Amino acid sequence: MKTLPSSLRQRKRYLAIEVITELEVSREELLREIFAAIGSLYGDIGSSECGIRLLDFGKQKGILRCSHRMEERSRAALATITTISGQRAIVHVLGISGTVKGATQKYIQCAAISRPEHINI
Amino acid sequence: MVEGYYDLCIRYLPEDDHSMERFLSLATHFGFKGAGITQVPNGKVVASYTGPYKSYFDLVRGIEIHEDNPAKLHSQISHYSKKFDFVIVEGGADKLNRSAVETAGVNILSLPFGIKDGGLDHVIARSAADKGIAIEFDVGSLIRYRGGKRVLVISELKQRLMLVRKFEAHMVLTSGARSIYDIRGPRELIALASLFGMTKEEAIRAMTAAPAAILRTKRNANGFIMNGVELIEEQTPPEKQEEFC
Repeated sequence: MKTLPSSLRQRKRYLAIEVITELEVSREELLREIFAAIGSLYGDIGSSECGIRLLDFGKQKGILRCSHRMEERSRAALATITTISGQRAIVHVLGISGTVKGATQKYIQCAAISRPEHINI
Repeated sequence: MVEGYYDLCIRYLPEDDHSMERFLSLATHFGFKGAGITQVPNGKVVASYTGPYKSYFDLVRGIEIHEDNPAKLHSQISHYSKKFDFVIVEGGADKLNRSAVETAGVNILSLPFGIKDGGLDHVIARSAADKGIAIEFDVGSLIRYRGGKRVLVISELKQRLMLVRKFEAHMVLTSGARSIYDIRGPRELIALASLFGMTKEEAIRAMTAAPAAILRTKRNANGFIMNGVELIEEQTPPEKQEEFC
Protein backbone atom coordinates (compact mmCIF):
# COMPACT_ATOMS: atom_id res chain seq x y z
CA MET A 1 0.00 0.00 0.00
CA LYS A 2 1.33 3.34 -0.96
CA THR A 3 1.43 6.09 1.65
CA LEU A 4 -1.39 8.55 1.19
CA PRO A 5 -0.48 12.06 0.05
CA SER A 6 -0.35 14.45 2.99
CA SER A 7 -3.55 16.21 1.94
CA LEU A 8 -5.52 12.98 2.23
CA ARG A 9 -4.11 11.80 5.53
CA GLN A 10 -6.03 11.98 8.75
CA ARG A 11 -5.06 14.95 10.86
CA LYS A 12 -3.27 14.12 14.07
CA ARG A 13 -2.37 15.62 17.39
CA TYR A 14 0.65 14.68 19.43
CA LEU A 15 0.43 14.63 23.21
CA ALA A 16 3.58 14.87 25.25
CA ILE A 17 2.87 12.73 28.30
CA GLU A 18 4.60 12.08 31.55
CA VAL A 19 4.01 9.12 33.83
CA ILE A 20 4.38 9.72 37.55
CA THR A 21 5.03 6.53 39.46
CA GLU A 22 7.35 5.31 42.13
CA LEU A 23 9.27 2.85 39.95
CA GLU A 24 9.77 3.12 36.21
CA VAL A 25 7.19 1.42 34.02
CA SER A 26 7.72 -0.22 30.67
CA ARG A 27 6.13 0.79 27.40
CA GLU A 28 4.00 -2.35 27.18
CA GLU A 29 2.59 -1.92 30.66
CA LEU A 30 1.67 1.67 29.95
CA LEU A 31 0.04 0.78 26.62
CA ARG A 32 -2.04 -1.96 28.19
CA GLU A 33 -3.29 0.44 30.82
CA ILE A 34 -4.04 3.21 28.30
CA PHE A 35 -6.13 0.90 26.13
CA ALA A 36 -7.91 -0.56 29.14
CA ALA A 37 -8.81 2.93 30.35
CA ILE A 38 -9.93 4.24 26.99
CA GLY A 39 -11.85 1.05 26.25
CA SER A 40 -13.77 1.15 29.49
CA LEU A 41 -14.56 4.84 29.11
CA TYR A 42 -15.64 5.04 25.47
CA GLY A 43 -16.05 1.46 24.32
CA ASP A 44 -14.62 0.06 21.10
CA ILE A 45 -16.13 2.62 18.75
CA GLY A 46 -15.02 5.59 20.80
CA SER A 47 -11.52 4.19 21.19
CA SER A 48 -11.13 3.69 17.48
CA GLU A 49 -12.25 7.28 16.88
CA CYS A 50 -9.57 8.48 19.26
CA GLY A 51 -6.93 6.59 17.29
CA ILE A 52 -4.44 6.41 20.13
CA ARG A 53 -0.91 5.26 19.41
CA LEU A 54 2.11 5.47 21.64
CA LEU A 55 5.00 6.59 19.45
CA ASP A 56 7.87 6.88 21.81
CA PHE A 57 8.33 6.25 25.50
CA GLY A 58 11.34 6.34 27.72
CA LYS A 59 12.41 7.78 31.06
CA GLN A 60 8.77 8.15 32.08
CA LYS A 61 8.05 10.55 29.24
CA GLY A 62 6.61 9.88 25.84
CA ILE A 63 4.75 11.04 22.77
CA LEU A 64 1.22 9.79 22.22
CA ARG A 65 -0.59 10.27 18.95
CA CYS A 66 -4.34 10.79 18.72
CA SER A 67 -6.82 11.99 16.13
CA HIS A 68 -7.38 15.65 15.52
CA ARG A 69 -10.14 17.07 17.76
CA MET A 70 -9.97 14.06 20.06
CA GLU A 71 -7.37 15.63 22.35
CA GLU A 72 -9.77 16.38 25.17
CA ARG A 73 -11.29 12.93 25.00
CA SER A 74 -7.90 11.31 25.09
CA ARG A 75 -6.85 13.54 27.95
CA ALA A 76 -9.91 12.52 29.93
CA ALA A 77 -9.22 8.85 29.29
CA LEU A 78 -5.60 9.25 30.32
CA ALA A 79 -6.72 10.96 33.52
CA THR A 80 -8.75 7.91 34.51
CA ILE A 81 -5.64 5.75 34.72
CA THR A 82 -4.96 4.97 38.36
CA THR A 83 -2.57 2.04 38.35
CA ILE A 84 0.05 0.74 35.95
CA SER A 85 0.98 -2.91 36.49
CA GLY A 86 -0.05 -2.80 40.11
CA GLN A 87 1.55 0.44 41.21
CA ARG A 88 -0.26 3.71 41.62
CA ALA A 89 0.31 6.11 38.76
CA ILE A 90 -0.67 9.44 37.28
CA VAL A 91 -0.50 10.07 33.54
CA HIS A 92 -0.06 13.79 33.05
CA VAL A 93 -0.29 15.52 29.67
CA LEU A 94 2.52 18.04 29.43
CA GLY A 95 1.24 19.60 26.23
CA ILE A 96 -0.33 19.06 22.84
CA SER A 97 1.22 19.87 19.49
CA GLY A 98 0.52 19.31 15.82
CA THR A 99 3.85 17.71 15.04
CA VAL A 100 6.09 15.22 16.77
CA LYS A 101 8.96 17.66 16.56
CA GLY A 102 6.91 20.43 18.15
CA ALA A 103 5.76 18.24 21.00
CA THR A 104 9.28 16.98 21.67
CA GLN A 105 10.96 20.36 21.51
CA LYS A 106 8.35 22.32 23.40
CA TYR A 107 7.36 19.97 26.15
CA ILE A 108 9.93 17.23 26.57
CA GLN A 109 13.30 18.80 25.86
CA CYS A 110 12.47 22.19 27.35
CA ALA A 111 11.13 20.55 30.46
CA ALA A 112 14.33 18.56 30.76
CA ILE A 113 16.41 21.72 30.57
CA SER A 114 14.39 23.87 32.92
CA ARG A 115 13.59 21.08 35.33
CA PRO A 116 16.41 18.58 35.18
CA GLU A 117 15.36 16.38 38.06
CA HIS A 118 12.41 14.16 37.38
CA ILE A 119 9.57 14.45 39.85
CA ASN A 120 9.77 11.32 41.91
CA ILE A 121 6.90 10.80 44.21
CA MET B 1 -5.97 33.64 33.31
CA VAL B 2 -5.46 36.20 36.00
CA GLU B 3 -6.53 33.95 38.82
CA GLY B 4 -4.88 30.66 39.57
CA TYR B 5 -6.39 27.24 39.71
CA TYR B 6 -7.52 25.86 43.03
CA ASP B 7 -8.47 22.34 43.99
CA LEU B 8 -10.37 22.82 47.19
CA CYS B 9 -11.38 19.37 48.28
CA ILE B 10 -8.25 17.32 48.66
CA ARG B 11 -9.16 14.69 51.19
CA TYR B 12 -5.62 13.52 51.56
CA LEU B 13 -3.72 14.41 54.68
CA PRO B 14 0.03 14.58 54.22
CA GLU B 15 1.35 13.10 57.43
CA ASP B 16 4.76 14.64 57.74
CA ASP B 17 6.84 17.36 56.15
CA HIS B 18 8.22 15.02 53.53
CA SER B 19 4.84 13.94 52.18
CA MET B 20 3.66 17.53 52.36
CA GLU B 21 6.65 18.55 50.26
CA ARG B 22 5.82 15.81 47.77
CA PHE B 23 2.23 16.94 47.60
CA LEU B 24 3.12 20.59 47.12
CA SER B 25 5.75 19.88 44.47
CA LEU B 26 3.25 17.80 42.53
CA ALA B 27 0.51 20.40 42.81
CA THR B 28 2.77 23.21 41.63
CA HIS B 29 4.06 21.00 38.82
CA PHE B 30 0.48 20.51 37.67
CA GLY B 31 -0.08 24.26 37.67
CA PHE B 32 -2.21 24.80 40.72
CA LYS B 33 -1.94 28.11 42.50
CA GLY B 34 -3.43 26.76 45.65
CA ALA B 35 -5.09 23.77 47.19
CA GLY B 36 -7.40 23.14 50.05
CA ILE B 37 -6.81 20.18 52.30
CA THR B 38 -10.01 19.14 53.97
CA GLN B 39 -9.98 17.20 57.16
CA VAL B 40 -12.70 15.67 59.24
CA PRO B 41 -13.62 16.84 62.74
CA ASN B 42 -11.63 15.15 65.52
CA GLY B 43 -9.40 13.60 62.91
CA LYS B 44 -5.72 13.92 62.38
CA VAL B 45 -4.56 17.49 62.08
CA VAL B 46 -2.30 18.55 59.26
CA ALA B 47 1.02 19.64 60.60
CA SER B 48 1.60 23.27 59.76
CA TYR B 49 4.01 23.50 56.90
CA THR B 50 6.85 25.98 56.79
CA GLY B 51 8.97 25.21 53.79
CA PRO B 52 10.08 26.72 50.52
CA TYR B 53 6.69 26.29 48.84
CA LYS B 54 4.91 28.38 51.42
CA SER B 55 5.79 31.66 49.76
CA TYR B 56 4.04 31.02 46.46
CA PHE B 57 1.64 28.17 47.05
CA ASP B 58 -1.67 29.02 48.66
CA LEU B 59 -2.41 26.16 51.01
CA VAL B 60 -5.74 26.47 52.75
CA ARG B 61 -7.45 24.24 55.24
CA GLY B 62 -11.04 23.17 55.22
CA ILE B 63 -13.23 21.09 57.41
CA GLU B 64 -15.60 18.49 56.10
CA ILE B 65 -18.50 17.82 58.41
CA HIS B 66 -20.24 14.46 58.32
CA GLU B 67 -23.22 14.67 60.62
CA ASP B 68 -26.25 12.50 60.24
CA ASN B 69 -28.34 14.44 62.70
CA PRO B 70 -29.59 17.71 61.15
CA ALA B 71 -30.15 19.23 64.59
CA LYS B 72 -26.50 18.91 65.54
CA LEU B 73 -25.24 20.28 62.24
CA HIS B 74 -25.67 23.91 63.18
CA SER B 75 -23.53 23.74 66.31
CA GLN B 76 -20.85 21.78 64.47
CA ILE B 77 -20.68 24.36 61.71
CA SER B 78 -20.51 27.34 64.02
CA HIS B 79 -17.88 25.57 66.08
CA TYR B 80 -15.57 24.88 63.16
CA SER B 81 -16.24 27.76 60.78
CA LYS B 82 -13.97 30.15 62.65
CA LYS B 83 -11.07 27.75 62.88
CA PHE B 84 -10.86 26.79 59.22
CA ASP B 85 -10.72 28.62 55.92
CA PHE B 86 -13.85 27.02 54.55
CA VAL B 87 -16.53 24.55 55.57
CA ILE B 88 -17.78 21.63 53.54
CA VAL B 89 -20.88 19.73 54.56
CA GLU B 90 -21.35 16.26 53.28
CA GLY B 91 -25.02 15.87 52.56
CA GLY B 92 -27.01 12.72 52.32
CA ALA B 93 -30.65 12.40 53.21
CA ASP B 94 -33.02 15.17 52.17
CA LYS B 95 -33.48 16.58 55.68
CA LEU B 96 -29.75 16.87 56.17
CA ASN B 97 -29.28 18.68 52.86
CA ARG B 98 -32.09 21.08 53.72
CA SER B 99 -30.60 22.03 57.05
CA ALA B 100 -27.13 22.29 55.47
CA VAL B 101 -28.20 24.85 52.89
CA GLU B 102 -30.16 26.80 55.49
CA THR B 103 -27.25 27.17 57.90
CA ALA B 104 -24.97 30.18 57.68
CA GLY B 105 -21.29 29.49 57.43
CA VAL B 106 -21.42 26.62 54.96
CA ASN B 107 -19.30 27.20 51.87
CA ILE B 108 -19.53 24.00 49.89
CA LEU B 109 -22.15 21.28 49.80
CA SER B 110 -20.74 17.93 48.86
CA LEU B 111 -23.16 15.18 47.98
CA PRO B 112 -22.35 11.50 47.87
CA PHE B 113 -23.47 9.43 44.90
CA GLY B 114 -26.15 6.80 44.84
CA ILE B 115 -28.26 7.93 47.80
CA LYS B 116 -31.83 6.85 47.29
CA ASP B 117 -33.87 9.53 49.05
CA GLY B 118 -31.36 12.30 48.83
CA GLY B 119 -29.11 14.00 46.39
CA LEU B 120 -29.52 17.33 44.71
CA ASP B 121 -33.05 18.39 43.89
CA HIS B 122 -34.53 21.70 42.81
CA VAL B 123 -35.24 22.81 46.38
CA ILE B 124 -31.66 22.33 47.52
CA ALA B 125 -30.27 23.84 44.33
CA ARG B 126 -32.41 26.94 44.67
CA SER B 127 -31.60 27.64 48.29
CA ALA B 128 -27.91 26.88 47.68
CA ALA B 129 -27.95 29.47 44.92
CA ASP B 130 -29.68 31.99 47.20
CA LYS B 131 -27.21 31.47 50.01
CA GLY B 132 -24.17 31.41 47.74
CA ILE B 133 -23.27 27.86 48.70
CA ALA B 134 -21.24 26.12 46.04
CA ILE B 135 -22.07 22.60 44.91
CA GLU B 136 -19.12 20.28 44.69
CA PHE B 137 -18.49 18.34 41.48
CA ASP B 138 -16.18 15.56 42.50
CA VAL B 139 -14.62 14.00 39.41
CA GLY B 140 -12.56 11.67 41.58
CA SER B 141 -15.35 9.12 41.30
CA LEU B 142 -14.90 9.12 37.53
CA ILE B 143 -11.27 8.22 38.07
CA ARG B 144 -11.73 5.61 40.76
CA TYR B 145 -14.72 3.66 39.51
CA ARG B 146 -15.10 1.51 36.42
CA GLY B 147 -18.13 0.09 34.71
CA GLY B 148 -21.63 0.31 36.09
CA LYS B 149 -20.85 2.50 39.07
CA ARG B 150 -19.17 5.08 36.85
CA VAL B 151 -22.16 5.10 34.54
CA LEU B 152 -24.38 6.02 37.47
CA VAL B 153 -21.95 8.67 38.65
CA ILE B 154 -21.85 10.31 35.21
CA SER B 155 -25.62 10.43 34.92
CA GLU B 156 -25.95 11.82 38.42
CA LEU B 157 -23.36 14.51 37.74
CA LYS B 158 -25.21 15.40 34.55
CA GLN B 159 -28.43 15.80 36.50
CA ARG B 160 -26.72 17.98 39.08
CA LEU B 161 -25.18 20.13 36.38
CA MET B 162 -28.60 20.70 34.85
CA LEU B 163 -30.03 21.86 38.19
CA VAL B 164 -27.02 24.03 39.04
CA ARG B 165 -27.18 25.71 35.64
CA LYS B 166 -30.88 26.36 35.99
CA PHE B 167 -30.68 28.01 39.40
CA GLU B 168 -27.23 29.52 38.76
CA ALA B 169 -25.63 28.13 41.87
CA HIS B 170 -21.87 28.19 42.18
CA MET B 171 -19.90 25.12 41.21
CA VAL B 172 -16.61 23.87 42.56
CA LEU B 173 -14.72 21.35 40.49
CA THR B 174 -12.45 19.17 42.57
CA SER B 175 -10.50 15.96 42.30
CA GLY B 176 -11.56 14.79 45.76
CA ALA B 177 -8.21 13.07 46.04
CA ARG B 178 -7.83 10.45 48.76
CA SER B 179 -4.17 9.86 48.06
CA ILE B 180 -1.38 11.68 46.30
CA TYR B 181 -1.94 9.57 43.17
CA ASP B 182 -5.54 10.78 42.87
CA ILE B 183 -4.51 14.34 42.18
CA ARG B 184 -5.02 15.49 38.60
CA GLY B 185 -3.96 18.65 36.84
CA PRO B 186 -6.40 21.46 35.99
CA ARG B 187 -6.56 20.58 32.29
CA GLU B 188 -7.26 16.96 33.15
CA LEU B 189 -10.06 18.01 35.46
CA ILE B 190 -11.54 20.12 32.66
CA ALA B 191 -11.41 17.13 30.31
CA LEU B 192 -13.04 14.89 32.92
CA ALA B 193 -15.74 17.49 33.54
CA SER B 194 -16.50 17.58 29.82
CA LEU B 195 -17.49 13.90 30.10
CA PHE B 196 -20.70 14.88 31.86
CA GLY B 197 -21.36 17.96 29.78
CA MET B 198 -19.64 20.76 31.63
CA THR B 199 -18.22 23.32 29.23
CA LYS B 200 -14.63 24.45 29.41
CA GLU B 201 -15.60 27.94 30.59
CA GLU B 202 -17.76 26.59 33.40
CA ALA B 203 -15.02 24.22 34.47
CA ILE B 204 -12.43 26.99 34.54
CA ARG B 205 -14.75 29.20 36.55
CA ALA B 206 -15.37 26.32 38.95
CA MET B 207 -11.65 26.09 39.61
CA THR B 208 -10.64 29.75 39.61
CA ALA B 209 -13.38 32.26 40.38
CA ALA B 210 -15.58 30.13 42.64
CA PRO B 211 -12.84 29.02 45.07
CA ALA B 212 -11.36 32.51 45.06
CA ALA B 213 -14.74 33.95 46.00
CA ILE B 214 -15.10 31.48 48.86
CA LEU B 215 -11.67 32.29 50.22
CA ARG B 216 -12.16 36.03 49.78
CA THR B 217 -15.32 36.13 51.87
CA LYS B 218 -13.65 34.09 54.57
CA ARG B 219 -10.49 36.15 54.66
CA ASN B 220 -12.30 39.47 54.77
CA ALA B 221 -14.39 38.20 57.63
CA ASN B 222 -12.68 40.29 60.32
CA GLY B 223 -15.40 42.90 60.52
CA PHE B 224 -18.11 40.37 59.93
CA ILE B 225 -20.70 40.13 62.69
CA MET B 226 -23.58 38.19 61.19
CA ASN B 227 -25.25 37.80 57.85
CA GLY B 228 -25.82 41.28 56.49
CA VAL B 229 -24.16 43.06 59.43
CA GLU B 230 -20.59 44.08 58.94
CA LEU B 231 -18.22 46.34 60.80
CA ILE B 232 -17.03 49.00 58.42
CA GLU B 233 -13.92 51.00 59.14
CA GLU B 234 -14.61 54.27 60.85
CA GLN B 235 -15.02 57.21 58.53
CA THR B 236 -15.00 60.89 59.33
CA PRO B 237 -18.62 61.97 59.77
CA PRO B 238 -19.95 64.48 57.23
CA GLU B 239 -19.87 68.00 58.69
CA LYS B 240 -23.10 69.39 57.36
CA GLN B 241 -25.24 66.60 58.74
CA GLU B 242 -27.48 68.96 60.79
CA GLU B 243 -28.91 70.53 57.67
CA PHE B 244 -30.70 67.38 56.75
CA CYS B 245 -32.26 66.84 60.16
